[in-house]
Amino acid sequence: MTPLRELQLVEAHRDGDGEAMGELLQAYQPRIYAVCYRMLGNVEEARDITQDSMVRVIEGLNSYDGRAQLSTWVIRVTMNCCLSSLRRKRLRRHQPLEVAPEPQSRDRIGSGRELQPGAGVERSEMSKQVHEVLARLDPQTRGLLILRDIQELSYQQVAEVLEVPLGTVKSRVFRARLAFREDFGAMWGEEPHRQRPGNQEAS
Amino acid sequence: MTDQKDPTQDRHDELEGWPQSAAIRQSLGSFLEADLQAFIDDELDDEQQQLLIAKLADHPELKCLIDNLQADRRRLHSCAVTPMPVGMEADVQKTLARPMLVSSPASSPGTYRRQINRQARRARLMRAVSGIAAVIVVVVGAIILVIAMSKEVSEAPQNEQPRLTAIDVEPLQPHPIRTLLPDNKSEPLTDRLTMAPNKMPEQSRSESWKLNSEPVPFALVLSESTEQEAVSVLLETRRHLAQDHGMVTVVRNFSRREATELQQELLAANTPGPAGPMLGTFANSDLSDVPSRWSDEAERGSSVDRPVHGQRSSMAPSGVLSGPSNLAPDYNIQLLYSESGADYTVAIRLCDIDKLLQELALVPPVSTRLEAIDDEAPESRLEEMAWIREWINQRDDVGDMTVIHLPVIIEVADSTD
Repeated sequence: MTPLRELQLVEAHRDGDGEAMGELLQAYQPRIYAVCYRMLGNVEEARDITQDSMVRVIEGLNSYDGRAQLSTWVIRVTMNCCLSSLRRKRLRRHQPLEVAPEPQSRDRIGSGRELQPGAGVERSEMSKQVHEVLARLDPQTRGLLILRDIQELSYQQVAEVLEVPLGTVKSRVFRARLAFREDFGAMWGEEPHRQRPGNQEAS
Repeated sequence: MTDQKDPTQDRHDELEGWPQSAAIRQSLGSFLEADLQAFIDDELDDEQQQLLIAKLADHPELKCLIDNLQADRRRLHSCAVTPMPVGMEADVQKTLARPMLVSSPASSPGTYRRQINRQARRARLMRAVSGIAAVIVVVVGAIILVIAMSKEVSEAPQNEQPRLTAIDVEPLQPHPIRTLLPDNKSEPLTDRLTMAPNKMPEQSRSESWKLNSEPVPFALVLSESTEQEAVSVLLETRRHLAQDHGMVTVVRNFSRREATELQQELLAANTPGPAGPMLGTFANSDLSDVPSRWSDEAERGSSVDRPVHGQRSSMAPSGVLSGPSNLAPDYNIQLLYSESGADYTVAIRLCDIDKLLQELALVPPVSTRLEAIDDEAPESRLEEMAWIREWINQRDDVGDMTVIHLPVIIEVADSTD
């Protein structure tokens, strides 16, 4: 959905169009869920917080003034809901999240959609590894990686979501990446300064 | 990178406080964190990348780390798509169907009912006070305006022409230009929206045009609505926009006849031979970049039933009417705009659009409507000026000084309404 279309839907919603909000939420629901799932690590909880986030979006849309992109604003609302949920659970410090199994992908091997059957298995394995490592990180670090490296927000957008200065965001993202690298290496037997054979091809 | 004591504890302590840790600084050596970050993010150009890679060649451990960080980034991005549980799409409708949840104020755990009611009463009171204050301000402002206008009329010299004001044309529901104030103060356009403060800088009229890049077509369309008999006057005044205000180039678009002849000449121009008479009349008659898809355009052009508004004045031929010709759109853009019904095209800086709208409204009975069009879904439009301004501000590909091509459609209002 283009930014202009989003603004048009917001305008229509404020004009009393009942369909506009539904269309907006349908478009954003997958993204909201993706953020919640990666932040919370649990399908059921992610589903609940996704609904909470959508409610917050509906309630707060009248105060949206268009200065930030709507996507940035929605992700900010979502991230705040996730962080509130984590605070409410009062996790003990450094305790990893309860890691639920990855949901089944709808694109199964042999469905005719994949040209390379093995690629789906490898991707699924990688997703599982990433999921487990993310679960071990503290919420702040996890949030930064989700926003910057998974959701591909710009640094400016990340700064708007987290409401911190741009320079601070860049610095924190660098440290978050180092933390991820360290945990990934520790879990899967890689040293931070040693290169995996596959990485040479990838880079 | 990590200390000898419990590395996890130490690293999390560092991350909690986010200081510039000595360990990280030591490992980076002479490299700047910002440069390495940009390298990981693929934000360096080829030359900068090569320089950094060459420099990293002498630091194999750091290079390995950076390669691993790049690989991690790709890993993370490969997990961007997370399939939703089956049936989750229905949650949207369930959420929308809960009016009690949506309309009542959100309560956090531990907040009691009386506290909620007190907060709701306070909110209602604030809304009422704000409404009354707004009414008082509007009434006082109106009184002051009336007094000022009556003083101005009584003091005006006899030979001075009365100031022209914009007149709305009801059938087309335009946005009254009088709501756009030259001093850029916010004023409610509707009872729902408040115009965002205009962030665009004031430009001196004597400031010369300095172009950093070519003018760009932009997804904005301006419609001017006027009566039939005022069309020729309107067209004539548009010629003088650039002369009087020095900030735009005005180009009269092609008529259908001219568009057809131009297409035929351009098709012929793809074969060796002298340029035809139509091409010779234009300032930018450079045949070297005639696009090969003109043949497609010719087929489209022949089937377009372009409306004709009034008589074409012999004083306003197609082509540049006024202003710098280097800002005029090329034939491709002119033809497309002509086919869409745009009578003329204005080349203007984004920051000057507000001023342009004010100037256009000075020729009665004209009202204007600016619309933003979604490039990917042309049926989607934005019409509220505040939202258009915010949409422009959100875009990274244009800035205040970007020169855009703005097609202008003249609509003839039904005088019987």
